[in-house]
Amino acid sequence: MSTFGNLLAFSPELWLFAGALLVFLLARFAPGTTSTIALIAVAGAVLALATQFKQTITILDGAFTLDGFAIVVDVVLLAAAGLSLLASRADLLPGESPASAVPGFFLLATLGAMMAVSAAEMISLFLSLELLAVNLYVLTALARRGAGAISASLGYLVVGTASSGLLLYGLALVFGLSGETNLSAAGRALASVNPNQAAALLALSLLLGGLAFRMGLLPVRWWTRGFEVGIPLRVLIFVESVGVVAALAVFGRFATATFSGTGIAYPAVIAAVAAVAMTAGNLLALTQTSLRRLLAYSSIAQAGFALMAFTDLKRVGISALLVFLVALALTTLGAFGTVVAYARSVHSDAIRDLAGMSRWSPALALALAVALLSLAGLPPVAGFFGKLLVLQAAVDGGYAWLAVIGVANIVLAAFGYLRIIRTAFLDSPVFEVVPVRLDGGIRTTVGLASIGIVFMGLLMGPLYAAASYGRAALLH
Amino acid sequence: MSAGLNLFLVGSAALLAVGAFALVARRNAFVALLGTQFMFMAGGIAFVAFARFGLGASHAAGGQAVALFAGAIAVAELAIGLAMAVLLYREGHSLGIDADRG
Repeated sequence: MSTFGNLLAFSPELWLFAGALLVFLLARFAPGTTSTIALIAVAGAVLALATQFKQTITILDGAFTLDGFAIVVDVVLLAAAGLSLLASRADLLPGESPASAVPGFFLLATLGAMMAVSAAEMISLFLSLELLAVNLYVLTALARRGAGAISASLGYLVVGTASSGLLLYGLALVFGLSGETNLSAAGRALASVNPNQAAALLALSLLLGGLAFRMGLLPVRWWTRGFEVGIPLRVLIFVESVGVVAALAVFGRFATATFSGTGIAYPAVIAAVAAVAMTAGNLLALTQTSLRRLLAYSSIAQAGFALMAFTDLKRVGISALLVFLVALALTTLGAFGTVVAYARSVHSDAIRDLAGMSRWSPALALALAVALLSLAGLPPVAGFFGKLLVLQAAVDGGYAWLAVIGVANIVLAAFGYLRIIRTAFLDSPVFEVVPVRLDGGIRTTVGLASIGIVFMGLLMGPLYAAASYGRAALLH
Repeated sequence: MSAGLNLFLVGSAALLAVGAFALVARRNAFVALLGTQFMFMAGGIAFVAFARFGLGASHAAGGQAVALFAGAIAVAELAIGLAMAVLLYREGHSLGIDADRG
């Protein structure tokens, strides 16, 4: 394909890139405008993406494939990036300078995430994931608050880089076993060569270990030092929505292209990791006294649930994964958004300080309740549909025991989260809270996320159709 | 498989293990950053070894290119990591990563 055609196929990514450049230029001259520019760039990218529906474009000699799967995930990524940008303006302490280059790094990280989900070759996959990762490292360092926070950023960078090292070694093993750097070609080669099971499983474990950090499967305690110091929530929202969705989608494409056609016992490994992650994540989350920590630990459980969909890649697993990712992004944005918004009034994220929330700010309390119900996976909100499809996939894949553990985890999580909802709605307030007038951005984010969580059930038809379209693209 | 491939693979696996050990055992920022570089280079060496000896020889250029790009990325990450280490030293005159102190 001609160079011009390639550039056109990259137009959503080019919008983000141009937006990031403009943000970096304006950060010096007009620091107040940067987050608006970033939002315009995201909107432009969505419009550019809309022109690419319903076609599969191969870019740069097969390095990137813009297929249905990539487009569905791109829409989720752009929506999550836009909403976290909107929410980020509220997460500034009074008098704090807003570090005006930060939205530019949000854009570059989103660019990396979008390229990673359409990457079809090992080099482009690794480079795109690193573009995402490096910008997240810079974000944690730029937006940090208080003394000692840089230690947290450096810890994040070191663990992230080590994960990338494991991922690279896993890719090298797949290359060695198949002799191909193209992901689908490697899959075909692995299916015909019938490689050593142990070596192939080692490669899979390294890949899963390398992506585990980005999927949110590892307990990242350095996010959660004292509230309102350290890494701020606006970075955490972005990492937990855009970063997690991108990593899970990349693993979905990789596992489908490379492992699903072979006789390698990959579902057993993934099922074991999923079972441990779900249970450990929920148990850790239940013991927390801070809402922010609870959400960070529950993201381990969510990622474990998402992995459950990988036990049935050949049939409905990818559709289930895509629906789950939509629900996960909405729920994360809703839950973290309410924490940011309520913290403007109480300057705390302790669960006991939620007492009386329904009296001081009933709308936020309702949004929090909806997000927590969805996080637990209770009907009739978004998380329920995502988890239902994933459980279905596990049963279809022959992992009924995993589905049983999944249901047990839903019950476990429900008890934990209902406790918080009870505190917010029924406990009598300890102190008087003066509701702060919230920035329009965070109200839009929490509002849109809550509406999405509540009404996702009604939109299941079109959503599932889109997810099946994405799945069909991966399975050819 | 030739003896050459095994030698390189054992070497790169050892490099990966040393890098991982440096991360786990030491809480010094420089040692940790060095450890991550070891892990990256292990992957690069494995890629090049497979491109030279194994099945990968049919797509040798692909494997070698991954190793080159991985080296470039490793340096980019090291640059950011060192910048952070400088900030860390300026704030507290120490290079300890105490990430686990929740």
